[in-house]
Amino acid sequence: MIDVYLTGLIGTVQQLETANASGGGGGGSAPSLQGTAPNPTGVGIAATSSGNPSANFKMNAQEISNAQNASNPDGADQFDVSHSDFTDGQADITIDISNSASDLNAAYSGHSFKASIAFLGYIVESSATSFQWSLSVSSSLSAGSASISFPIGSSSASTDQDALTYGTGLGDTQGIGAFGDINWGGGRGGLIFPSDGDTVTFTIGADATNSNGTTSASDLVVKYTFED
Amino acid sequence: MTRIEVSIPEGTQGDYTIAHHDTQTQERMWQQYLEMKSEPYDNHTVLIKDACPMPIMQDSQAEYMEHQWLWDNATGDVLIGGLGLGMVHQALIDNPNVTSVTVVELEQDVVDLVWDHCAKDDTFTLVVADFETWTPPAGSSFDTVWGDTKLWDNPLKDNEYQTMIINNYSQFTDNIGFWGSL
Repeated sequence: MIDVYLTGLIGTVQQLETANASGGGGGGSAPSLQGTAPNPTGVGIAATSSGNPSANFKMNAQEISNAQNASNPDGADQFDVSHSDFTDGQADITIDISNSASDLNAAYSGHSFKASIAFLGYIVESSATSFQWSLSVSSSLSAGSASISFPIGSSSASTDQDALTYGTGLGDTQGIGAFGDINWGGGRGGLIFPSDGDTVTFTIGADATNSNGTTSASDLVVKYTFED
Repeated sequence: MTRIEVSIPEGTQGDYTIAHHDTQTQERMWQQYLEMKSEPYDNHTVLIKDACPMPIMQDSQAEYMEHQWLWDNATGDVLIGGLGLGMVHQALIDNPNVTSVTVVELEQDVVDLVWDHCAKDDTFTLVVADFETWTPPAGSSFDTVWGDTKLWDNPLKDNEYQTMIINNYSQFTDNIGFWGSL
């Protein structure tokens, strides 16, 4: 019997990282009544602020990495997510790596060591006075890692109800104020990208609070699967 | 923080170059490497292959961590696939459990750049051959085999490379490990 130890490159890495979940852990917890006034009700994450029910339980995501690709040479969009990608609160996104040597490498080599994703949404509610977004990540990666990061100068996710936009100007909203990062591996001559079957799952949460308590929205999930 | 710093002069032989990078170096994606690895040190010696956009080895903290399997397992007669910067040599010399080290390196240019300047003692043997296909002499056995020859421009997938190395060396050892990406 041969003992074989496969470090890093082949060893699957399970990883879980959570950023800033104040209050409830999501899942649409029922409001608890205190006195005569209820917690915020009807709390959910939506892709617009219009109140259109078809936009509920959905959001958008925008890749903000300094990467390039053939169709969008001014920026990356490989990891963009549309609200139309969501079904029952989850968006399953497939990243085709069958030609990764030319596609992902062309996009990221020399440009960015990671894919960084901003999540854009709106907290639908009634009678809330404050808000809190949260983002967590779990991954199964044969190379590299996944993590959460924040805008410069920040160490927690946004407290804005409206997190529908991402901007880089002073004072601009940067989505939910926490970014999902998929960090490539590398070090033997170039970047190393995930393998077939690797996954990265981001879970987005939102809380709405008033003087009587906090209600959590049902989480939204964005799952990236790398397929050869 | 841990690092094994090498002392190899700059130079070029064929497709390979030894260069000294600092925090201001822009070539070969060096800034990207430093950021990617959260590298805390300022000055590094790197080995460059022309065909690769990033150095193929550097005496960084990340490299030390990517060799963790070797630090944990090196014992007895050790076979190293890939000379690189010779970065692992001093650690193997300092390891009282290591009795001999055989280094297999395909590229004579790398040997010419590195071998005269890297740490070694009389227990070291250099074989200029392709580690991926080399057959050890009859009767050979190794207590530890370290596979670190898969570069960015190798068309094999990681698992394909590792399977190939395992198949090639399993009759000579029962302990094979591979360089690991952070």
